[in-house]
Amino acid sequence: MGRSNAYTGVDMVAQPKSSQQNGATLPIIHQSLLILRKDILLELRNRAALQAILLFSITTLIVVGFSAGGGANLPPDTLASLLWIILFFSAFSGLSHVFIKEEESNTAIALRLTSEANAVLWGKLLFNTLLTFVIIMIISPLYFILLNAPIIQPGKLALSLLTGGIGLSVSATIIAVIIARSHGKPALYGAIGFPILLPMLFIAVDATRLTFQTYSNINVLNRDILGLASFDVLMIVTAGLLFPYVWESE
Amino acid sequence: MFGKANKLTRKVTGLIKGLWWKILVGVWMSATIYCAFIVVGPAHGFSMNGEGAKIIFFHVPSAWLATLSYVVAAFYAIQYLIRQNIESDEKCATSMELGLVFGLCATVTGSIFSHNEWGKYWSFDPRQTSILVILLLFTAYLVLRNSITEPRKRAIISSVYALAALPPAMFLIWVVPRVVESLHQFANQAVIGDKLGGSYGPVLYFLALPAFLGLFIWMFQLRMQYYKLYLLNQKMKAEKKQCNLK
Repeated sequence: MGRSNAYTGVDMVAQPKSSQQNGATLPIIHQSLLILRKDILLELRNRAALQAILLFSITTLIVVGFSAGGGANLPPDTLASLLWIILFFSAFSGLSHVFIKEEESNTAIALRLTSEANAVLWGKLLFNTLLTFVIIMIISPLYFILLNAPIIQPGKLALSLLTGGIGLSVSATIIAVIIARSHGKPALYGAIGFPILLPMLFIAVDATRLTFQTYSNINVLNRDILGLASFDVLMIVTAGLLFPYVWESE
Repeated sequence: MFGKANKLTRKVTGLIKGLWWKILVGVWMSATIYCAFIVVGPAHGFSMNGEGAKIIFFHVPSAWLATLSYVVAAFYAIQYLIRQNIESDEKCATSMELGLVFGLCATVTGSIFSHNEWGKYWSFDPRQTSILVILLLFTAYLVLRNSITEPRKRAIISSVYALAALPPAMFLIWVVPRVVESLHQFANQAVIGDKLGGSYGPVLYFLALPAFLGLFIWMFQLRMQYYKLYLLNQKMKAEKKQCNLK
């Protein structure tokens, strides 16, 4: 990786079109991993998305903790729904960055020339999922400490956060490309993403609520986690089918 | 000039095409209203001496059409992505608008019924929540579509959004109300299990549903004709401008 790569961030994505025509195309997995690496390097350079999301989520966390009276014992329903509200809004404050950044710096066209549409989707998806997990791993322990959450089933709680986080990042990614391609209407991002994510949030809140209760129905909990996982698969397939149309439009 | 006027008259006479089935829709709808208020008797075990049950003749078809219009919209969105013709996108948007209208009707009639039977207009019942989210989806689609001015871009973005929202919408319509326990299930069982009394089922299935379906198709056509007239108007304006320039 030369010095020029660190500034443009483009030429390390994949091989140029001419070599693709010669039959020397990289496999899609390799391309998407390169895009992931490029995004991580760019993110580490100025940390714009991560800082925005973290600042937003920690502010909401403090507001919630303060208004809940600092260590008051909230009922499991409230605990679970507040956690997912924080996660939803922090995710939607920063996950659109991954495509809007490309449009703003006019690098989207270079990306479109050098790599296949699906490789771009998987690369961006992996990056967003990673970012979501980082946020969940920072926010949820803080949340449990600040609000005295009684964690009865830590394993199931982790599973519900994992599956819910994947669903959050997949939906956020496909909405992000829609928003970025419609030439920057960032104000619409949350409003458009909310109806798509609501069914998943219902199940996620239900699953998280059950992990806080002592006598919860284990079958319902397993069904919820399975439901979340199937939602993830459904949204990944939908994103894979629809992404090339938006990405390669005009 | 004369040829242009002739073309316009032909367009206008084209508007009344299919008059017979439109009259039939009117007759069918009148029959539905007549049967709902006069022929069908009160149902046992409902509010207002059993008259409260009669709202299902208007509530069920509206809810049914709200669902149907999402399916139709998704169909046209797929058609747009395959064929790239702008008319499919317009049909998709039309369907979404009608879905919003019928969805609002279903929500309002449903909450009146809920108030009469269970004492609350709104109780965040799973069925109520799901129709609320579907209404949000229709609105979000229309807001997104109206925010983009360039026709091609608007068509692609809004079609993709309609299809991206399809799995959650279908999940809300068909899965959530059946998995989570709700008050609505009792009402559903009353309709399906025919506990309302003999004439309710036939009036609902053979009068109300076809009448509302006809209304939906008619409104759909009217909206598409409006779109065609709009295009014609744009074209004539452009021609006039060219004539003036010459």
